[in-house]
Amino acid sequence: MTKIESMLGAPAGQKVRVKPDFIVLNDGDAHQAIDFVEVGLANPEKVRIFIDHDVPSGDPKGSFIYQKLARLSKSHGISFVYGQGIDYQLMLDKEVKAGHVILSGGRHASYYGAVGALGLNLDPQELANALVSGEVDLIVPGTVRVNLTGRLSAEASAIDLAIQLMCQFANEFWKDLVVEFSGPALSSMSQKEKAILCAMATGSGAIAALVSDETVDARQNTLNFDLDQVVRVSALPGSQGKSFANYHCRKVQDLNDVELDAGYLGGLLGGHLDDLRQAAALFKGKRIALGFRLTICPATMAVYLQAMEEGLIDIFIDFGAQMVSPSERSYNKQGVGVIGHGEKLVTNGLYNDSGCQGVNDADIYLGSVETVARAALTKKFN
Amino acid sequence: MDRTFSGKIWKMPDDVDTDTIIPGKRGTIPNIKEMSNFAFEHLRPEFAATVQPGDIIVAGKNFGCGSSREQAAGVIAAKGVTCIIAKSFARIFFRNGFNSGILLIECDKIQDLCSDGDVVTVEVNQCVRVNGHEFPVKKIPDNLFEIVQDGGLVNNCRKRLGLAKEVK
Amino acid sequence: MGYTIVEKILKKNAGVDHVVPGDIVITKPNMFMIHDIYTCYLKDVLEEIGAENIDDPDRVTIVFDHCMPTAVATNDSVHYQAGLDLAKKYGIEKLHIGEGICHTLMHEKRYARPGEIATATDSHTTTYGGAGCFSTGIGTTEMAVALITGELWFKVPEAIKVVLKGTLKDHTLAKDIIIKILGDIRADGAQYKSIEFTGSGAHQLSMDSRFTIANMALEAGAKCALFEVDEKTAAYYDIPLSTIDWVKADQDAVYSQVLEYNLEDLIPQLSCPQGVDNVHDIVEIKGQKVDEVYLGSCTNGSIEDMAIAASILQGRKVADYVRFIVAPASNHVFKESIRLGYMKTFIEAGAVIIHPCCGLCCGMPYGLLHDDEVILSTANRNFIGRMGTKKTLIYLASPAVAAASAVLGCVAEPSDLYMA
Repeated sequence: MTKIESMLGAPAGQKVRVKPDFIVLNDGDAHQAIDFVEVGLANPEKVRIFIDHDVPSGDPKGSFIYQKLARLSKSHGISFVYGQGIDYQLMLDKEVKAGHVILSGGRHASYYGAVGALGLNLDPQELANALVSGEVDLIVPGTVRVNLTGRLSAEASAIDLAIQLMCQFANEFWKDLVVEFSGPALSSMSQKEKAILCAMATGSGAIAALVSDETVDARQNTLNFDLDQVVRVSALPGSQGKSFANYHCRKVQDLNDVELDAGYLGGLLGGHLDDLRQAAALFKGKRIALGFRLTICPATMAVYLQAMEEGLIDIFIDFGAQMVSPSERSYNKQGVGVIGHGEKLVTNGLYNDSGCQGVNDADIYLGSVETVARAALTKKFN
Repeated sequence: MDRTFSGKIWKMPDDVDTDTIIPGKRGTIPNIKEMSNFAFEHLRPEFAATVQPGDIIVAGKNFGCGSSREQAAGVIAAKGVTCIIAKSFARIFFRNGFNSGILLIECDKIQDLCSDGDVVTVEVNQCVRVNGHEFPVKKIPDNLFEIVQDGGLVNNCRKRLGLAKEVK
Repeated sequence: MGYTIVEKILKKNAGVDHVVPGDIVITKPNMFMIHDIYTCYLKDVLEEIGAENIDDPDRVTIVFDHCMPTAVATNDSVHYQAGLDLAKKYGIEKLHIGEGICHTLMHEKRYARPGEIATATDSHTTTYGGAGCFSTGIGTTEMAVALITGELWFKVPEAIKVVLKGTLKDHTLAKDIIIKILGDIRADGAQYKSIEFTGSGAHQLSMDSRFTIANMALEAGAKCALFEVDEKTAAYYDIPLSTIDWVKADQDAVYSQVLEYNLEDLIPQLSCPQGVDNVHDIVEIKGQKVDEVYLGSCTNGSIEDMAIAASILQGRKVADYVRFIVAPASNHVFKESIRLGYMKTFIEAGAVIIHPCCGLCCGMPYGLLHDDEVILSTANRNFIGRMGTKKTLIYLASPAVAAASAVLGCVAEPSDLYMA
């Protein structure tokens, strides 16, 4: 049995009716679900509202969405959290456990797969149906297993690993399937690292992703990947409206003719405490390259507070970066961190669609914390 | 600019603000000549199409109040209006006006004695005359009159730089 | 024959013995500041003129604060690049990119100095009058020429004297003083004039308080706003008082108007929708629901403002469904606020912290609101449409009122918290 089959209690291909443990609404895509809801909610106590994208609102529309979600919260007594950081991390920090089923909008609910929970991304109509009925009907998806061996070297990170995996496997192997990560490498990986893999799997087309500590059955549909081979890479820019259109990445050394204009360090993939410590170590006593702009976004307020305590924020300020309030900004078209026509951004964000940061003719490169940090020092990939 | 000149009057009220002169949303039009086609579009819709170079604006108090937007003066000058007579001018418009090559004259006596289309005569530093009435005006500072004669601050500056090059 | 503060500063810089209001003097400003809204236009004018050099690049600073961090995609990077191009072409080294608001940096960096002249492409340049610096805004074309020639003409203004007596009561602040004055003299009440602050009450005010008042005096149409120099000014600039104590009004100076205020009688004031001079006492507005509170701007983003707000928010939470945005005015204020625990207090209360910049004050994407939402801000303008849609309502108030209102979710003053 695959993990998803055991979680949903049915084999791949069978229809099941699932009662989620949580339904998470935010001001990204999920809020649109409310527009389809005309009657009451089945289980308001299971709903969680987070304002975590447009913080503070970069457009009056953002406030309109805030008020829409606030009204839902007030009328049903639903938990309402504003500006505390990215909802996936907040839920993981507070509530989500192995075996939970969580429904969301967006594309990265598989972040919860790191703890063996099932995060599913639904479109607004499907979310609305789930809000009203308290259930969702699914066809149990097929699974592809990814067997991870080896260890990440000191310079390689989970982001580099995720990019390489995605470029190698996503297009051909995992669309509309569940990706189940397993193998001996998992035991040396942190929860954050596993979460990054799972999130990037669905970000590049899988329907869900999970980690499993079950031993791999060689007869099953299995892909193998050795972490020893991971080096620092950048995912190349996607085209407009489509992130990871080409699933191409290159080693950072092979990209050093690219003149970068800006960097985004943080968010769900790069905004955790260890990431900020790593960046601060690279920045301490130095100044940002003239002509490069860097915004730094801790993933949650808890991280922000701890980073303040450790003097990391001071280092970032002195370096010449600008701090952003914890939020999910990868697809904000107006607000801190957007770039201009023809500019090149290297980011820890979740998307590389050329239009995701405000203009349709920008190049968005994805890279690790170290890649973004080094770019801030030199304006280049190195 | 001559020391004595005449022009046809466009009468304007008190407190004409910079948004009335040129709405903020027109501020992104790339050049001033095009932008000037919207000058006074809400207050005097016929202005842009029918104003003639040499026409003179006669206004009430606080002309040009509101934002420091230079284009408010720029669009008036772009239409060939190089003189405004008003009871008073807002501070930053006063600077921007001269810098755009417009002679700004303070006079609070003629407003009730003239209408649109009348001809007013200006004798710089001496008086203004309309419909048989004559009123004295204060001296315009020499440096400001020179800026107007040069057609604005940019030309005035170019002229000064030119002189500097010769001396060197 | 006595002189006003502005007459003294202008005639000294212009090198003339005597001036009266209405005279034109040619000055050589000591400091020129450009911020990033105007970098592209300034670059265009300088190219149109064809100047290869500017008079003195050391007297020039470019501050990137309105469009930095970049938040409007099609615009901000263009303004940013133009600023870098200007700096490179004309040898301007004093660049401050994403370090805070221009008017705060001008006095923090001691660029604007007592008895000297500073000018900038911005209206709230009057701020440094808090340190007895004659400072006023000019347009872009004029700035271009002034940079090339090093000269700027001024018409000597008339002056209004404001005498402040007594001491402010608890939680009534400098912001309340200037809002009160604006309500009394209205938006054109000081048109073209120098507002000059004297009296024991003025001398009791801290430097940050003086900058707050001078900043917002612009909203009465003032050409400049000047405080007399004293030991506080000397200490702030770390220079001997004897070198700057001439920056004060003579007893027999001629003022067009004298206003007196007894600070003990003052209670918190608000500028209400939709004009800065639509001023009401807090008792008339208390209870008005708010959706968002903004603490920051060049008017009230100082460490003193952060301290006051933090003391009120300590151990308290922002009201449900109310957003509270904190924008320290500079990197220095940001770091000090971290060190002193204010940021922790704000975050624990539920605030969102933005990087030092002009932010929401001028309508940049930092908390824009929709129709029928209400914001209470410590900034200096509440024109229609400034912080959201045409139907967003803006109240302006002090940091103390902002903090109390964030906790109660409606317009309130700190004493309301102790009773709640």
